[in-house]
Amino acid sequence: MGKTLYTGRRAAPVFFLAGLIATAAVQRVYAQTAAPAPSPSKQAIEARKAAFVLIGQNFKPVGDTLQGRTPYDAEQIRKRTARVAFLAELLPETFPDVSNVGEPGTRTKPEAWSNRADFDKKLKEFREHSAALAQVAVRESSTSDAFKAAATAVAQDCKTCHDNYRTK
Amino acid sequence: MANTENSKQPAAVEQRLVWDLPVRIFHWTLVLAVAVAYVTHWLGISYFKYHVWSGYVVLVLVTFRLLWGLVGTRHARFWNFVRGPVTTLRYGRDWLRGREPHFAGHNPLGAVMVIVLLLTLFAQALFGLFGNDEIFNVGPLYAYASNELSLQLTSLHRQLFYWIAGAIGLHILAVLAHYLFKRERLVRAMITGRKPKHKLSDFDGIHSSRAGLAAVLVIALVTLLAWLVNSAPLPVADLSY
Repeated sequence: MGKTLYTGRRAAPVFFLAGLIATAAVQRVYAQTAAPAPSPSKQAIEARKAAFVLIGQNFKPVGDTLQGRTPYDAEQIRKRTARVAFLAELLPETFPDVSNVGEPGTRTKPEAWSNRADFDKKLKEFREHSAALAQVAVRESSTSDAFKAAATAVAQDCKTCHDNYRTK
Repeated sequence: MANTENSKQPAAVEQRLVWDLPVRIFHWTLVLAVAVAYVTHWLGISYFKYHVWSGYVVLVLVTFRLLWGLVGTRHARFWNFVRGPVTTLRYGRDWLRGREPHFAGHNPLGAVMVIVLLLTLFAQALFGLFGNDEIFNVGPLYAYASNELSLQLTSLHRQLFYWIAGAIGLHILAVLAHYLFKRERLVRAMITGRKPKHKLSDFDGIHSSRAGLAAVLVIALVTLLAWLVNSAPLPVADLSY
């Protein structure tokens, strides 16, 4: 090759420069593709808030019927209660231990973790009562006593947990 | 109990009317309404209807008392017992030294408690009208507030309870202190309306309860509240989602 330019000591700065450019490029691409993952606590808080928003939206029409603000619409009640029962199943996983300490984005009181056994029991009762309400809704077609009792039980679960485990 | 046991001298302690009938009915009905409001909240979600009713009673009673403080009898009128901060502090200082003057109606410190209780209970009942438990119970005027405002007012409604409970506790302690240290039977006076004559000056007694005027005021307030509540639209969930 004779007197090639890119050999020996004279090539070193060129390789060095090329290395710098390559590193910068890789970093740039990496930064674009891999944003830092949200913290596990933030994910848990977002998940439970999403679940509660949907539970609230779907239980409202049930409450309207229960309190006589709207007539009993069997199809609506079936749909709404089935959704609440399904959404209630999502809740137990959304209160991991890490989603408590020092999180500003949540209204859950620290007592949900310090009284964990009771909190878990309340979540379980909510799941069971929601499932029972969905089953009642399958066979009922009016604001019957069975419907009233089942829907009131679910609403009371909401309130008890809010009173005990949510900031005022 | 010494006075009542000595039945041979029932007229020994001559009494004069201090609290008019409307004030006394107001006081004990308010006690009942606040107790019902607390108990129905505590009993659970299906008692909410009665919680709302007790709130209506509190609202009418407190509004009535605020008006009665303008047009009521002598010891019910605000300008006859509400004093400025200097007088009130001086009374507190004299009380600490055990030589406070005697008042036929509310003393200046008691006046502060009257105002605090009336205003906090008024705010509490008012906030409740626009409240929303985020489950299915809503206050009767919920439809007039935005959802955000309703949630803020509900939060205040929950927090204000503790301040009211504290004020009621202090109020009861003060009445107890009057009995223990000064032998003043304030509870009985609030029931009979009468206080021993020898503790009053000549012009402290009242001659009429103005019960007719009070009845007219209460009927007007009930009618106004009923109209407000009944003309409010029913909040019904949006079925789009």
